[in-house]
Amino acid sequence: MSHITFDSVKISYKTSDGEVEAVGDFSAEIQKGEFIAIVGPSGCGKSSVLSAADGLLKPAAGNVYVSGEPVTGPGHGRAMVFQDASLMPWRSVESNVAFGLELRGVGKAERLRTARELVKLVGLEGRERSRPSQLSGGMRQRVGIARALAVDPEILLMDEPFGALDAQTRESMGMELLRIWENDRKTVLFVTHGIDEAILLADRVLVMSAGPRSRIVEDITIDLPRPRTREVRVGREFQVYRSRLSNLLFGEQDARTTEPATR
Amino acid sequence: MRTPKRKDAGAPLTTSRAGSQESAVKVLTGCISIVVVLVAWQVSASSGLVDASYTSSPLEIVKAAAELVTSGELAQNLPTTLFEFSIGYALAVVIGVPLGMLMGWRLRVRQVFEPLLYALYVTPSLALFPIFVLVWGIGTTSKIAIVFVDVLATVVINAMAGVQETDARTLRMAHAFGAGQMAQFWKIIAPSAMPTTVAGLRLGVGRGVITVIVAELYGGVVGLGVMISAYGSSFNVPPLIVLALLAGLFGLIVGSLLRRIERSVFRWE
Repeated sequence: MSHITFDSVKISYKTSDGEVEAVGDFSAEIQKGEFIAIVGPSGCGKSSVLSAADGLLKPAAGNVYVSGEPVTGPGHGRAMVFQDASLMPWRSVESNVAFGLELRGVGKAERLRTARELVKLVGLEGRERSRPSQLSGGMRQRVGIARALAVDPEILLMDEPFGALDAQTRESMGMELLRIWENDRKTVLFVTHGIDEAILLADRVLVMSAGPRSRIVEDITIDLPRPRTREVRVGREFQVYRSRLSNLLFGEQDARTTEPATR
Repeated sequence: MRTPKRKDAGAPLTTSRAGSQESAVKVLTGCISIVVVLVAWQVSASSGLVDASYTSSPLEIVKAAAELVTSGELAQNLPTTLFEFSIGYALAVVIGVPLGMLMGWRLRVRQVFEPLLYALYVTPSLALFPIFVLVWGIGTTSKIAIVFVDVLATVVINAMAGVQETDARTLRMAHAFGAGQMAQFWKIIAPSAMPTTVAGLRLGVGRGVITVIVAELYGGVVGLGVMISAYGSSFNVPPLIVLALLAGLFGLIVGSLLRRIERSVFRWE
């Protein structure tokens, strides 16, 4: 049985002009331990698909199943990482990380111990008592990831987590995420608009069409060896995946300009 | 390991000693203008340049202050005013903070109370004071009531605004991590509304002090306002100025105390 099943998920929004069907028909089967990237043009509803998987948003039609059970609301087995990190500015780093455990009624000593372990895991040792306002964007996102991992979810839902970071930080955060993921290979749904990022991280890339009524236009398996390193991207295979994804997202014409200059 | 306390954003890397020196200099320069005015005032009064029976003079004011204290007149009147203010203010805070937060959080509660509170906020409630006197008499009760009404509106409106300013993304995060309505309120909404709420408490002090004094001016048996009114009608200027300064000083002290709390507790702002 697959870990996550999207069964003809439709998502619509009420606007002043009436109801808009953002996502038309999203169906996918995701196996346990798979790292899935969802890419698509902005406004295609890829973040909405993620919200539906977390139960934050109810599909207009269709269903999301986790381990065969329909998703009805946020649940224990899943944790979300947000694009803006969404930290609580009045709390210290460790207290932010412990938030999920606190809501589950875990005792203070135990949740702080777990939180400190995770702060260390994401490379923020020594910043446990800092406030979010004292951290850089990349550090804040590390806190967001640690907070999600603290509840030890089976599924990690990541909504453009590195979208607000500069290119360099973004790449090193990606490698960091892979390092952490290799520990226990949780199932990951990773929404991004970065093609390179998707290929570098994922086992499979789901490509969505532009909205409204967007759907999956291609399901590409990324057959690159793990553990992956930065060197992967200079290889020939990477370039092939890259141009294929560019073609799907931007069309043949634009794809040529996004490819690196040939020597 | 403790991390150092955060300095004001954009402040250069100064040691804390240099920082306190800087603030001492700031206080001293602030005093210059006050000293200059006092000296000019004294000189023009004692040289006959202005009529001291209207303007009084700093020395006369100091004398009047000493007399108010030694005669026991101040000790007789000040406690009443403080009592009226404190009870009215405390009631307004105890009722206003929860009510305001509830109004910010729950649309239905807001719809019920908002028109009433805004009406209260923009009405100069002192204009209604005669009615309060009709109901509760000329004593302390009517003054407590008017302070309560006046401060309540300020406290409620700020607490409500604080709640409404809660970042929707933070709430969404809490919801995603499984926080129910109650947990969302206590762990997200209430803490993030605190700075604005306390700012409301500070504004309320100013309003409350003005209200209690003016209400006493209107009529009463004891209190600072009653004294001001008595000295005013007998054209006795020096004690009048002492009392006005005293009221100002009180507002300043309570206000800066709250500001200090704001700064130390809400350092994340």
